[in-house]
Amino acid sequence: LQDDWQQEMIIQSNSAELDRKSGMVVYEGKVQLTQGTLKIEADRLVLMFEGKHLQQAIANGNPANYEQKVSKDKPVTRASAERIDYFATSREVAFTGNAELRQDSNLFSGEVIRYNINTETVTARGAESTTPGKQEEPKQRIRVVIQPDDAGPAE
Amino acid sequence: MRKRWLLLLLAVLFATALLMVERYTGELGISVGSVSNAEPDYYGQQLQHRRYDVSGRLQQTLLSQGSSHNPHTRQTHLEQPVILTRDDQQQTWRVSAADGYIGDGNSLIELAGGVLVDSQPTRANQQFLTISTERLMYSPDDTTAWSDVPVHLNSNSGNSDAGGMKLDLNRQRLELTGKVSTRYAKP
Repeated sequence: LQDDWQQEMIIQSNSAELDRKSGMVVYEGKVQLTQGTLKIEADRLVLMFEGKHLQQAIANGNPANYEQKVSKDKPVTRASAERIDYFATSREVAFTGNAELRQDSNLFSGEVIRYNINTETVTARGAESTTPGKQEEPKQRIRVVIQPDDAGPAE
Repeated sequence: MRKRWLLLLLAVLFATALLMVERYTGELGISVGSVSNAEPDYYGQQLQHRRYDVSGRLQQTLLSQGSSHNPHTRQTHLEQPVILTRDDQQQTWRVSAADGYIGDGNSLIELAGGVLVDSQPTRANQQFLTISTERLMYSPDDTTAWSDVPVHLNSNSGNSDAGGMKLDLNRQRLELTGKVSTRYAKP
């Protein structure tokens, strides 16, 4: 929700390492982050602070899971990927590596999915061809499944 | 005949009394001995111990209300020890406790009872960090500290609880172990 960012953020994990010089905190082992309706579960979570303010969070897992209720009248948005990057200032989340995002009953999947929480826009991209110059089928193409509205059978 | 029995009875009573006196004085001797063993062989008041780095700059100070050394346990006991140390960014850290223990020939300090580690904010670095626990091992040689009992942390950004910790004061790196729970305050 819009006021998720005004809530306390709670993180549980098996261990943590804090580097006060760089402002980086690394949580490892069954990491669970909650902040309002936002939930992230991962094997490893790195938080980067500037003073008291969170700048970026990077979650890694097999997969790492993300869940958030973006607006009151909409169901929870769920996503998973090998890596989740959260950019605090732009309120954007990037899912990389076997990324999948479910919103209502719509499904997006691809190598990289970027989701803007403020505008609720989703952009997805398949994997780039790994060999430069050679036109080759990209490893994974994007796939979008949009469920029709329940407007009843077509006349 | 009766006299003889009477005499024998008296002798037995006398011998028993002697045995009891012998035993009593023997125990007294032992308890006095163990008390003298427990007695410190050195007392100190207002201890101040300073350490300087190779460039001659004050690096660490150990203060203590009182200290005493016990030859039996081969340990020095410090009352209300306070350790002040500076990290490589010249931020001062203060480590304090109710009691401290240093083994003979050892530089490690075992701190116990209301242990508090806190970094003093400076004009350049307003970040503060306070760690509280009940037991902490502190190594003055490399300014590291570790604990295997629950610790509580408080800092600018929030607070954490963990089952144990390792702290490298100089590199300002802190490792929390054993079920970590962190709460970041509202931005």
